[in-house]
Amino acid sequence: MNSIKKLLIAFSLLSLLAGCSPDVREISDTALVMSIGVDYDKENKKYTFTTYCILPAMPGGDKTGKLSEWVASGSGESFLDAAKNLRSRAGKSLIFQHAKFFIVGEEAARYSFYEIVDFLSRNRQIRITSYLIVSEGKAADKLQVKSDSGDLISNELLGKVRNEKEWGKSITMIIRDIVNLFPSQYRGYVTSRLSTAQSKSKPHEILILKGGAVFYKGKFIDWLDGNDTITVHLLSKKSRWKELEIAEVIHFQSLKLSVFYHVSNSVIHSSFVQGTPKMNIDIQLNATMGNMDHNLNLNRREVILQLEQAAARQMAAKIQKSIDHFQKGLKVDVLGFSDRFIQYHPKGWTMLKKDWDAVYPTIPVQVHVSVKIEQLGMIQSMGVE
Amino acid sequence: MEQRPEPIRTSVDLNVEKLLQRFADNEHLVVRNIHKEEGSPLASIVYLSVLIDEKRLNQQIIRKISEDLRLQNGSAEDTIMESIHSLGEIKVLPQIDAAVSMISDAGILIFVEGHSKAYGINLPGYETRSIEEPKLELNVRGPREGFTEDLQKNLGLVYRRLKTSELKSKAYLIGKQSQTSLILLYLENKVDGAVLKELKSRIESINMDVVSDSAEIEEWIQDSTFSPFPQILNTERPDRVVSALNRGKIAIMMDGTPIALITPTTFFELLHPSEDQFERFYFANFMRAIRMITLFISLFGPSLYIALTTFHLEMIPTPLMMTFLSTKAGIPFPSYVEAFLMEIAFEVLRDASLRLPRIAGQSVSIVGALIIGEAAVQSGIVSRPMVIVVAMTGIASFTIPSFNTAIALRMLRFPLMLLAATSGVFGLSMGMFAIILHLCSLRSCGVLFLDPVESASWRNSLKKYFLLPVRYRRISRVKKHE
Amino acid sequence: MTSQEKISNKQFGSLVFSFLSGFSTLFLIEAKLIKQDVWMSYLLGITVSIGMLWLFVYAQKQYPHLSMAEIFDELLGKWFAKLALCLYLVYMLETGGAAYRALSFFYTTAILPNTPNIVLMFLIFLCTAYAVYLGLGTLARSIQVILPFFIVAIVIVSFFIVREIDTNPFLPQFQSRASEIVFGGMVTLAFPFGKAIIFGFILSRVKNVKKIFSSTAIPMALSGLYLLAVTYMVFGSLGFNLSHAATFPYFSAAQLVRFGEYMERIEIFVISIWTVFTLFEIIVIQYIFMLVAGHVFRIKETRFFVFPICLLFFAIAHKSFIRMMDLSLYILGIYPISSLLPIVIIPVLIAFLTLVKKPRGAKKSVKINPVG
Repeated sequence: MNSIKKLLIAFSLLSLLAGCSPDVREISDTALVMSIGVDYDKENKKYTFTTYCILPAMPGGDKTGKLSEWVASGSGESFLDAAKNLRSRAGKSLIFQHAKFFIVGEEAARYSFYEIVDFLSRNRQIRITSYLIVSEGKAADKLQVKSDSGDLISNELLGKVRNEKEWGKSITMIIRDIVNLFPSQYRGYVTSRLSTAQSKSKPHEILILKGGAVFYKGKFIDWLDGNDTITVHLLSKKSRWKELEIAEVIHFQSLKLSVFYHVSNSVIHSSFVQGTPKMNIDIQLNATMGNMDHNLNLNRREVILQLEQAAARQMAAKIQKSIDHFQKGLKVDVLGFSDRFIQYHPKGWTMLKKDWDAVYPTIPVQVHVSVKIEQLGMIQSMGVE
Repeated sequence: MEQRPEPIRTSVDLNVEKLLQRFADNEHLVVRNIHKEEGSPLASIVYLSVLIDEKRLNQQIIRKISEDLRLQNGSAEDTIMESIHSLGEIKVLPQIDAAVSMISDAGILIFVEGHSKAYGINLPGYETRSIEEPKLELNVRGPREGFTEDLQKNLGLVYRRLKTSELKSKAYLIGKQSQTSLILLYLENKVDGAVLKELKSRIESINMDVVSDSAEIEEWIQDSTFSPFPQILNTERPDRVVSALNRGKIAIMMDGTPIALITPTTFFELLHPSEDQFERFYFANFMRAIRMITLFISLFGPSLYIALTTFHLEMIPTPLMMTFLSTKAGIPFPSYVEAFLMEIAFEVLRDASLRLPRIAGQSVSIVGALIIGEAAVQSGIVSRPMVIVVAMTGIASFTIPSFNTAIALRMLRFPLMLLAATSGVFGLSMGMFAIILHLCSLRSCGVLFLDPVESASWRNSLKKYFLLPVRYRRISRVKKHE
Repeated sequence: MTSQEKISNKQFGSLVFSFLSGFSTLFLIEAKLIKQDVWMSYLLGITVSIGMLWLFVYAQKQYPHLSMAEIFDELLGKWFAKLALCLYLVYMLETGGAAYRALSFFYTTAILPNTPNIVLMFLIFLCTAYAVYLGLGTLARSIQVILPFFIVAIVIVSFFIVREIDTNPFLPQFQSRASEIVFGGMVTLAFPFGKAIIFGFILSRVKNVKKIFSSTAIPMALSGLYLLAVTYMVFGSLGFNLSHAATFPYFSAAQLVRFGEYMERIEIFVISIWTVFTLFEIIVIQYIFMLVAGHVFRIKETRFFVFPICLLFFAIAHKSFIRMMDLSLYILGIYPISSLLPIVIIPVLIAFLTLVKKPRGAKKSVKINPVG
């Protein structure tokens, strides 16, 4: 009896509260932010915050509701200030939960990356699984670009990221990984690079997602080209290389063969021999024949073996070249060698870490690649005669 | 008005006069006297003409008595006594009060001169419905007989299915005015004595003037009066009563209603129709699992929708969010108002279609659902997803066979919607927790209401919730009083 | 009234497990502190708290027919017992208040940023007061309903989080100093595990007193295992730096759960079940508070005091830990020391007195027997 009375009172109180909650956001009053662009003007110390939103086209208009795109930017003293100033232009309340892409302008990535990362990880609305991409030039411009296919830009970007694993020449990181690697003083990391190019068929520019942007010690350092991102893919997390597919042209006995590789295993070994660090990289690839330009008798075992060796040599050289570039050119540990030492050689690491920047370029890295041509495709060879 | 029991006199005239006093202003009381010769009557037959079968009275009883009198070879009184005794089931009533209730209970009363007792014979002549297929609990497979308003027939339906001497019954007369008979049925070897004792004491405590349906008995004997959930199963299927008896339950059957009560009942028994036992066990269990989902949907459907679309937009997948964005554009009401409107409209339609004559009822529900729903969407009053959610919720609640459980769930939906509109999933989980707590605190005649879930091991609970094939179905006894 | 209803050992175990596992994974403070070596701290914390509870179990076994509060009376004398019990009351108030606050902070930070704390706490208050009113038996049964859902939800989430782990996050081992581990152990003892000591007061309500130690120790160990698994998953999926930075690391890790490309942010569902789970801690604390307070202040019918007592907790929570940082400062700074008295010192004292007084008690009964 008593409890019923209590419950009744409680519910009648609640019915007064219902809808008064300040957290209610009606879908009909919202604009869905799909991607966010961030720019920084170093001279004026101004931040620009650009949102790419979609909203219903005409309220109460057509039966089949259509969506329209809307790009708006605001600028201000700080990141949040800029985002809030944006509200002066917005006719709806902005919802960031569905923003999948953060496009960071080159200048912002170079000079105010700390603030960006802090904002992204602190804000509750932002998913830690969204992607962070660095754009050449201003990010705001990239969001204004019309998409090539006529789809929404955000959908197109999502498709581009999804296609990444089929060619490996871009590498997009999610915010979680960036926030996690950001404070590291020893290793760098790579995320994708967004650029524009003139479309051949259409009058306007189109977006290109290719290559990478290297970050080290909390700021953007340099660009990376597509071949180097393949190496980063190959030697990074299992979840990445597991699905990766890379195409490669092999020159073999005056023939030109195209194959694509799947990674079957990829291991980095670290060792500490008499105080000197050493890295061993072991990659096993499975190849599928794509095409070849002359006849080659693939039925013979030694031909296959020779072909596999040639392919492995070529791949090893390619990886070695990338690693040399990381070590000597960039001088950034983008592959996480330092993590290996921290985890498996904690004692040696205490000596290493003082002058890691000097040691890193000198660490000898051995690359070993083995290739297995597992699949030849639907034909074996095009007929002998 | 109650006085101490009045004995029956030896004089017929005196007795009839007493009765006429009791039944003053009742025009249906008939007194027929049997005379040998002129003078005072040898015997009198008293009855209420509306209740009894006068044809049988004339053709069998009166004719028999008068024939016997014609061929008499002893005293007239003895002859009458003899012929009365040969009539079959007679009740000897020593007091006027018992005689009065005999008359009220479709009986005739015979007073014989010189005997200080009245003799009663039940001779019901009112019309009863014949046995039909149950109206509410429809089955695809299984017996097609349902209870009627006649207790004797109903008892017959049960006894026919349980040919054992373990089947015990206990009769009560409930209601000071209505004097409705109520029968408790149980299997001696299966029933839990403590539960039986508890139930008996509760029935004895019933204090009502008129009982018109077993629903009132249910209200009186249930454990928690203010709970929204029914704690006693009601059924109109004899096979369901029999299988319940076999599981150690107690059935309560009442005259004048086709609905029998089964207690102690657990929550999950209310969720499953009796048909489950007759289906192939894969299918039956599949349906049981589905019913678990519909239970969830019918309780949380609209409130979850409100919580997601107003508080937790991040949980809606992006493509779906885009669809919502376009469908919700221009809808004037906030989600929870929309939900309330639609839910109330749904309840109105449901009730209207129930009250109307059957044929009209169907058209109302179809017309209502189609036209109102479509028009509401077309004119932009409610959004399409909302209509889908409300319709889905409504249909889900109809899969629950127990009508009043479904009502309880539908009712609880409204406070949950309020909670969801107040604080999203947080409020919802509070509401869910309160409901679970409440269900856990309930008992049905002392047996835990949520029995299979709360039994000692989870393996056991699963066994109780899902059906095993008939061969392996061990009949588990009702859990003992704790 | 179900006030003297006994609960089975399994129900008791489930209650202990849910009591400990609700909030333990919210902040993961000690894990942020000592990172990969945190398992040693957990081990330390669990061992000590199991040991302390064992002392209570030992005392309970000597006096199987008395409740723990009555045992206090028996051993300490009336006034000292009142003092000790009042210490527990204060301890429960601060723990319960912190739990209230932690839950509402979590919601206002992560899910409902604009809703005032008081609204959430009021809802918590209503719900927990109702639960306390219904009593221990109902509570024990409802945990049996909710625990399977919780386990299923956690298993699903874990399955999706484990996919994100690709290097062993617990390497390198043994990098922390012993003092750090001991401090971490103290924090662990104070925050998730030591709280179990208040179950001492309902030991007498469990059916089988003989098996009571195993039905306490096993859930506590399981709860520790669960905490360790969560820590492993959080470190593995978020990485050290992000786990250290995140306010609610487990919540952040749960955000990673996604079914395919489209179904994301499923964590809200998990959180709704988790919320119910955490409520058990508040409810159990309030319930035991009611029992102990009823004993100390000689209240016969505690039922009427359910509402005021829960209101007291609500008020305490509303007035303390105004800032989020207060809570973590409190848990790191004050709590490990202040909770030592009820968690360690009093149980040791009680067990010691039981040991000392036992022979005398035995003699007494021998003496009395011939007379009686």
